[in-house]
Amino acid sequence: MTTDVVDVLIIGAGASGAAVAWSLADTRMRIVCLEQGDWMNPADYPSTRRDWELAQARTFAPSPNLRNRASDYPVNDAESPIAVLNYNAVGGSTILYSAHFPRFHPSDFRVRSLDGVADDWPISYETLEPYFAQNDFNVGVSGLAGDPAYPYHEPPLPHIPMGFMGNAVGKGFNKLGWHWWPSDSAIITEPHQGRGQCLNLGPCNTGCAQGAKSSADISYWPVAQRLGVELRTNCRVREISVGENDFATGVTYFDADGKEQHQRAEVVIMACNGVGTPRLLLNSTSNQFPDGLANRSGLVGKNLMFHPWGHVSAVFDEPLRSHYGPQGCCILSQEFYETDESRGFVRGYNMQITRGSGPVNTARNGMANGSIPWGDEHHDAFERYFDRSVHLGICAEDLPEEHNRVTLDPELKDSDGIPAPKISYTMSENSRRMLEHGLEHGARALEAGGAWEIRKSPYPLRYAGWHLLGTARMGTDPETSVVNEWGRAHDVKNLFIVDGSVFVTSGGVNPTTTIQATALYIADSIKKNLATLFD
Amino acid sequence: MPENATITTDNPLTGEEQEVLHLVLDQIIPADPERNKPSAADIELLPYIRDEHAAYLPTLKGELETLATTAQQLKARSFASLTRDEQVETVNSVRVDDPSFMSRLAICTAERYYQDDRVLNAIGMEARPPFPKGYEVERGDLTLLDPVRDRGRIYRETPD
Repeated sequence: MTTDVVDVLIIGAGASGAAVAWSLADTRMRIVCLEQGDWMNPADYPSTRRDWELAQARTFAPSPNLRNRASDYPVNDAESPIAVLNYNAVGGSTILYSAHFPRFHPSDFRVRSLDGVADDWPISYETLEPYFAQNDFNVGVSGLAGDPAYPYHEPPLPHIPMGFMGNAVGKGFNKLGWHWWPSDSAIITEPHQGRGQCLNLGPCNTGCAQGAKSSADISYWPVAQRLGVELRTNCRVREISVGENDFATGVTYFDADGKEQHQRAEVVIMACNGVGTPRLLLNSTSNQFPDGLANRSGLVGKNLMFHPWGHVSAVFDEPLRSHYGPQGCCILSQEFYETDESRGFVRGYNMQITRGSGPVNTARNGMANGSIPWGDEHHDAFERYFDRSVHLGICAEDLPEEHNRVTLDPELKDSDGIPAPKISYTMSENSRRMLEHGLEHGARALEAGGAWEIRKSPYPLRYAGWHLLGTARMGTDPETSVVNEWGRAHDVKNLFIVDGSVFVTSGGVNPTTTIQATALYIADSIKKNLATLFD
Repeated sequence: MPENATITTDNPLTGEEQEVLHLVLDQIIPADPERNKPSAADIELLPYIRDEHAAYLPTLKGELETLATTAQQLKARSFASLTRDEQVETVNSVRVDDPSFMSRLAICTAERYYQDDRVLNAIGMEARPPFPKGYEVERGDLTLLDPVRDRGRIYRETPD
């Protein structure tokens, strides 16, 4: 058992844990981070191999249930149409994320006031704006200033190349008079902070061998470690312990050798995101907290939000070289992001235009759906599809509903015997209407751009549960929220949560930049309030 | 038992099964001399299936046996002795009743075929991993954004 006491103990080395570690490092406090996974070796990423298109289905599958690495924990998502996706390593899910990096809009923080649904956040876009900017620099965001869908901001690096496919789809949006813009991307297009620029390898979603995609292991952690933060890998936390005064005293964890250890801490910061954080809180029961730590509101694990995802694929006549370039980053449209109730739903969605398929996936998908046949017609058909395909994702805002939740599975456990999370989720009628609208209008845009074939996938996509939000929500009222307006648990005054579980609403965009900005804001709040932190 | 009927670790199919497989692969993706694309029968598929889809091998053996049996039933001859049109007719006669018949073989074929150097060169790609050389991608035409800029701001004002 470890008897020394660290000043700050961070659980999880992903997007938010890395950001908070970096920010707090300048306090010179003793900071330790426990991460259940290990460091990644970029030489292992599929883009270093000839079979890069197939590797995702193997060791780089986004579902922990399919991937089943030693660092993963299982998730019972049988009662959800959307499967939980994540990655457990230094860098967390940013190892596999697309790095599509749009910010939340100002309206996302005021949904009750504007639309009469869900709740307003206790903070605003303006609160986070300086932290968005800091995060943009730290990770190296590439983009084009002046997007009229946002308050003005200047990404520090030039935008990701749109390619011929960006031109083609952009023309389609223009024909309809709709918004589009090169997307902010956490991928560096020029050398930045000692890292090499993007080489347009393609499969960002299975890790970036070049190190141009800003996963947290290569953007934040090297700096945080040089500033003195200690990162212990292969350490899985079983529970957070609490004293009689309702203060967290530390954590019990299994180290790399599987030995149980205890680490005492003055402050505990949770950064395990929207499934891992409630799982650990619910596993941390005590006399004071029989229903889970910091759960006197009963809201830990409730209000789980994904982004229900729609998908449209399209094929154009002309070769677009569409399979080259960062897979998930090209252009976006936020024409239908803000509420217009005449559409039949409130809130809105982002359209994320992503790169086309490589040769293996073009052939495999075409042969599976019959568009590329056996026999003499095969080659003509392959040529009609290859290099000409474009994908469009619909990222629909998911509103909080208490019945959508994370609980502990009564039987399923991880390799250390820790109860695994169980997901109970149903997609709302509002989300269904939003996805219907998104699929129809996404198809219209692609058709206007000249696509000759358009296919809408059944919705919601099952393997699209990347965004795990809302399960320890932020608010000023301890009865209706788990943490206060700067991330401190209402019930445990030295426990902070900095990940996506504090989100009050989900917005309609990929959340990582907003998660990291929120983590930086909370870290700054801790620093500003050090003298009275536990009052 | 003929020597080529022996099933070993390196040779999971009998000689007859391999011959039928060879003919079926040529049906799935025949050569295209004009495009310099080889027949799928000319790529090393079996080691790939053994390495990556080992669980499919028993099913594949059964499917090859079905073709042999069907050829006897329809034409009273071995599958290999049929003309190409008759072979196609035989395969299609099974697939009409069971569209999933050999569909996994087709997927395995696509996976392996489109990693082959000759095929990649034929479709204009270099036969290499993406890293470290990478690719050039066009920056895109930013003048296309003029109407988006001209329209002006589209995000909502929010109350304090």
